[in-house]
Amino acid sequence: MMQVTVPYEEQEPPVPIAATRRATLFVSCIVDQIYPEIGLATAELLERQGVRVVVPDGLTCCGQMAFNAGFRAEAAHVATRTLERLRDGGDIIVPSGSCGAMIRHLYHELFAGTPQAALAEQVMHNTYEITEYLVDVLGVSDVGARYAGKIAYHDACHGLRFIGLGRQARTLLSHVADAEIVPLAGCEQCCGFGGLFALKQRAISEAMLADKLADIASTTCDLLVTGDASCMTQIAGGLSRRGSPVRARHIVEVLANSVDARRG
Amino acid sequence: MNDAREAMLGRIRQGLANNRAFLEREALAAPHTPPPFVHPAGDDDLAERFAAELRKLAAHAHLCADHDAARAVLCDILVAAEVRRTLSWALPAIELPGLADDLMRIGVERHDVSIAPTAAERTAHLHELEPATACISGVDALIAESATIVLLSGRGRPRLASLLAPCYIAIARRDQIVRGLGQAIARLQQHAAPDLFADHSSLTFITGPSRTADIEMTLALGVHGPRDVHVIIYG
Amino acid sequence: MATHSIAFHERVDRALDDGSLQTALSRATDRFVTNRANALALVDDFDDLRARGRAIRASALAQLDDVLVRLSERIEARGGQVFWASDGDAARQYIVELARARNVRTIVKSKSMASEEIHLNDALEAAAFTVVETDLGEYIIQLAGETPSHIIAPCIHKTREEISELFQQHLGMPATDDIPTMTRTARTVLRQQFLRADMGISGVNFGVADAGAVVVVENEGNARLTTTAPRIHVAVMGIERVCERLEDLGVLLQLLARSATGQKLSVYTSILSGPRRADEPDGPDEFHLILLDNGRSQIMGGDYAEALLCIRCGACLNACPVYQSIGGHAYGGVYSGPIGAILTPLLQPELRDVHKLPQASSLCGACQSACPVKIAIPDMLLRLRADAVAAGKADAIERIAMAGWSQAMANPALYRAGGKLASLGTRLLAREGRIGWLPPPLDQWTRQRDFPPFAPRSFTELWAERQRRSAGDGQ
Repeated sequence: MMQVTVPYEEQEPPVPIAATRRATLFVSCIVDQIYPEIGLATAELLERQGVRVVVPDGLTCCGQMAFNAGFRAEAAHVATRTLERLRDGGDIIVPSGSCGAMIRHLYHELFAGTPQAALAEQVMHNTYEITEYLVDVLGVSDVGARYAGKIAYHDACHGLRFIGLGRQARTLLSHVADAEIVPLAGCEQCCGFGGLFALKQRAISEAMLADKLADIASTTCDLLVTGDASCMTQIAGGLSRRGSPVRARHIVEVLANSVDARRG
Repeated sequence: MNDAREAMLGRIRQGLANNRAFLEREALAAPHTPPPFVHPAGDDDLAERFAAELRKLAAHAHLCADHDAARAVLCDILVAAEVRRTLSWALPAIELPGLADDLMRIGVERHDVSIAPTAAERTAHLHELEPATACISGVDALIAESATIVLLSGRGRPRLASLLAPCYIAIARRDQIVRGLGQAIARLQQHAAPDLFADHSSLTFITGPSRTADIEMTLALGVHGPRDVHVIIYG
Repeated sequence: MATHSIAFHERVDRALDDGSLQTALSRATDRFVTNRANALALVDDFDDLRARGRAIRASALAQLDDVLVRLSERIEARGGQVFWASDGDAARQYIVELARARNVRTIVKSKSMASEEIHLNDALEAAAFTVVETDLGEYIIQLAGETPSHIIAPCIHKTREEISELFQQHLGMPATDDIPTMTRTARTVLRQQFLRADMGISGVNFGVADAGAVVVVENEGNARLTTTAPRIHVAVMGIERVCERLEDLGVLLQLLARSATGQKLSVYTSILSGPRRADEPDGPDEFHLILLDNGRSQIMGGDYAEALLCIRCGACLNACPVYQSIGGHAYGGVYSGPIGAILTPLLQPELRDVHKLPQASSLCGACQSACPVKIAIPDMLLRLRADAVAAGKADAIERIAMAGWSQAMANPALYRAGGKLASLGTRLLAREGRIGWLPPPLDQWTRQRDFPPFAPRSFTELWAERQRRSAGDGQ
């Protein structure tokens, strides 16, 4: 994990780097199809830092759903295609700790001993989750965001435990003007999404969600923020079913000032 | 030796053929040496540290200036608890001069543990020992950071003399205290080189009173072993 | 209660519907998690300790053949006997025959997962021996005729009222739900068993090869009594539970106690090296070590060898949100929780629905983070899922769905078309921007959760339009 030696508060405001940096944006299937706003917000955050954003044609999915269900041939079929699209893409940015973990942590096993192994290693090496990229690579802590309200942050599991996220998001959130970050008990506890787990182990998934919702209800937050659209879907689905006034958003929506851009 | 030995070893070797490289890589990933202790070490006095940790475990520590004071404390504990019968290490092994006289003076009986090998005698002797209300032993070391008593069994050092009765009193010299478990093991091995277990069938670490939280995670003390644990440190 | 004969989903539903189980589980796992966190916070560098522990365990396993030979030769040199048991049958038979040959009547046992694994008690009782579990939790579940639901706290699924009922019924205890009274009652009853027992059977936390010793860790003192009072001590050890040197315990015991219960050290650690020496006043006259394979050497050669590093602390159970929700019995095997979801399919493949256990994980990784030897549990769960699919155990709907999914995801045109269809369909189902009902099998989602409609236009489309626009601006 990268060490940041200068406390963010003491750093100079970020100077936009001349648009020499180029990054490939891989938004993930769920963002592409359900939450395009998250993809646009991610692009905007990068562009504001002077990064030229490239979105390759025909990118679809990292293959995680099939891989996690044990369907490795199917996962490899999809992921191989994704690898090809990400070849030589420079830095690859995903707005998802989970897809990031799939690529960085699990592609190794998926492609071990295959002709794609070397390419997989290249892509693994080049892939960053968005908050990690902003804070650890670009050295940014204040992206000029503003939110008048109380935010609670949920650490989505894969990002937290497989690629070491959490610190970066908290750094960025702490610089959101007018926002109060309130502590969330059990913020590192799984929300119960888990991909097909949410369907195949419905009852357990619901029980885990109930715990998460209870923890959220015991805060004073009006906005629940997390770094994965999938966990956000699980939590938002529970909040809205229970008629909670709390909204769930992806962190990039807060950072790009597009919390209200979405319907619903 | 039984026939299965070679079969099992064969299967293990077969299995290792696939995974030995992985395991060896993991084995080399970090040093194996135990840290001498694991908590941050201040310049705290080890006896004080031991006492503080022991008290956290709901046990009693008594720091005494010398062996006379230690004997006096021991007698006070026995008298206060109305102890009549004790199980203990052989007195020379406890290394507290004058202890025999003191025990006699306060009317405390000391039972020798000497378990016979036959089944009937064994059970009968255990039944004789069971009514004892206090155990007394010396120690081989004390570990300050965890408040642990270290005991080797051996001649004149019955295991039951730290186990069977509801009250257990251990007597230690100040110079027997080490800071951590790593140090304790190193010291034992040094003293008993080359084979710690040549004359001792057991090495026991005792850290506080017998306890359980099996019922509703509620702590209860003295479930099978001693409930009241005293450590008297002198010197 | 033969939980293993019931379908996994029913076991789960039963657990989730059991209010007192839910209370007990959350109380226990919260306490364990908090105690562990507090204990770790005091340590200088717990991660360094974990790394050492992992290396020590891996080193012992890398030379397991040699380590076991050293251990057994040392124990034999000290007058102990070592029995190499290929499977549960062999171990059971050896112990039953030994007990018969020595005219044993009463056997006391301290907690041993390995003996649970081979159903040792059933065999001993069938041979007409009186077998008494002496760990308080194990004793309670023995009275209740159940199996342990947690590695460290076998009866966390029972309330004090249920336990009081058992004690009144079996031990004639007066009605009370005072825990100290219940504990005292058990002490009195079990003390008599210790005094009369001819044989004590214990588990083993670690076998220490170069010391020729086994380590038994506990808090109650029942294991000390089990291994001291009776004339015969039988220790049952899974062959993987080894380390090489006594000083390794300076790492392993520290990890075990803190991870299991948040203690600095467990109350009693007994390091036992054969029968009592000639001039020792007490201790067993006979010492038998059972080296139990029972599938472990098989695991050693496969994709799950890392699971053999496990030191059975139970930290992964406590950390696991699935275990916290369903408890141990729902897993159906001896080992529960995340590590059980790996070990049970490997060690007890005959159990019903055992291939579904690896599905009982959201893959959140809390288990691996809590593991004192950093076992990559989620990775292994994923491999077990792949094994189950490869063995044709996935259900038909899932196979078809996955085949369709992979075709669509690998073909942008199909992907776009599918997206359009989903967008249309989900927007038809949506009311005020959310979907309260989806058709089967997706209704599993919408029972307690809303689902968002797909976007009218995908990110890909919006991005392409944005690029066109900015290209237009530039001209």
